[in-house]
Amino acid sequence: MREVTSKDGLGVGIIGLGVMYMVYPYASSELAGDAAFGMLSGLCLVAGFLTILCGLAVFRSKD
Amino acid sequence: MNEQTTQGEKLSSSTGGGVPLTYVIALVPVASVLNVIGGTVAGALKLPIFLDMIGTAVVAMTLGPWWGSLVGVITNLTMGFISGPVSIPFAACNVVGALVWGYGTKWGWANDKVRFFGLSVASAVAVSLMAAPIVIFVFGGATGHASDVLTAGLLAAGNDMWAAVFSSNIIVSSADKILASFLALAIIGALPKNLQVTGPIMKAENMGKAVLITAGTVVGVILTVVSMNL
Repeated sequence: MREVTSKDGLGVGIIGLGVMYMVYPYASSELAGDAAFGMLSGLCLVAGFLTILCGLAVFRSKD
Repeated sequence: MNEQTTQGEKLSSSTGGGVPLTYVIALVPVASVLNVIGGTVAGALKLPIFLDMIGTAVVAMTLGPWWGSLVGVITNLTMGFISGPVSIPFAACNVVGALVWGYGTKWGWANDKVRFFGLSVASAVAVSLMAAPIVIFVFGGATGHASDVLTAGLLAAGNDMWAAVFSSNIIVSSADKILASFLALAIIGALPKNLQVTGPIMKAENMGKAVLITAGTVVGVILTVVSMNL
């Protein structure tokens, strides 16, 4: 039986974050209509922070 | 011999031996649905807590922080498509909560009651640190959640926007995350021990005091919000 490891978890988690970022423009346009820019820039700040966390996790994870 | 085998399985799991894919495929969607149901119920009853991170805590503490993150993202995207896009930006909070619970368990913070309580509070602080910028940058300070009453009260008391949003969020989040952590502990107690790959987690036994503290915190927050609403 195939087993999943923490490395698989990290990969799937990062894919999940990618999906989340791709949905952000939809959310901002739904919530703010034409004035979506401010909202999207706030979300990008949050996304950037999480991406940095991902990078650190990859950097520190062992083979 | 049998006990040695069980111990060996446990050790191999906690050192990265892995868990069966079928177990992960079963647990992740169930945890996401648990979150969605909890969040929907809390929203429908206008409760001043969220209840949308119980499944995240279960998965983060058993399978690992990044599986918990996946549960968080699935939860908030699903809630976004069910009840409106307000919950989509808060997927980041669910992810941060999963990371704190997952890495905290890995580092041994789920070993005893005091550390576990600390882990719950740490997750509440981390989630609030992520939620406050989202509430201010994305929603301008209010999201329509019951905790907005607290924010309004703190603003009226002369606090600035950042202090008001963070303070109200940390109060509500503390109650929510402590409740979620201990409910997750009860659920984890029913899951197979050899499939907990993140780290040692204490047993949910003799939890009388912890239940009292949790119930007291939750009741206190609800009374605070209700009294500010009057």
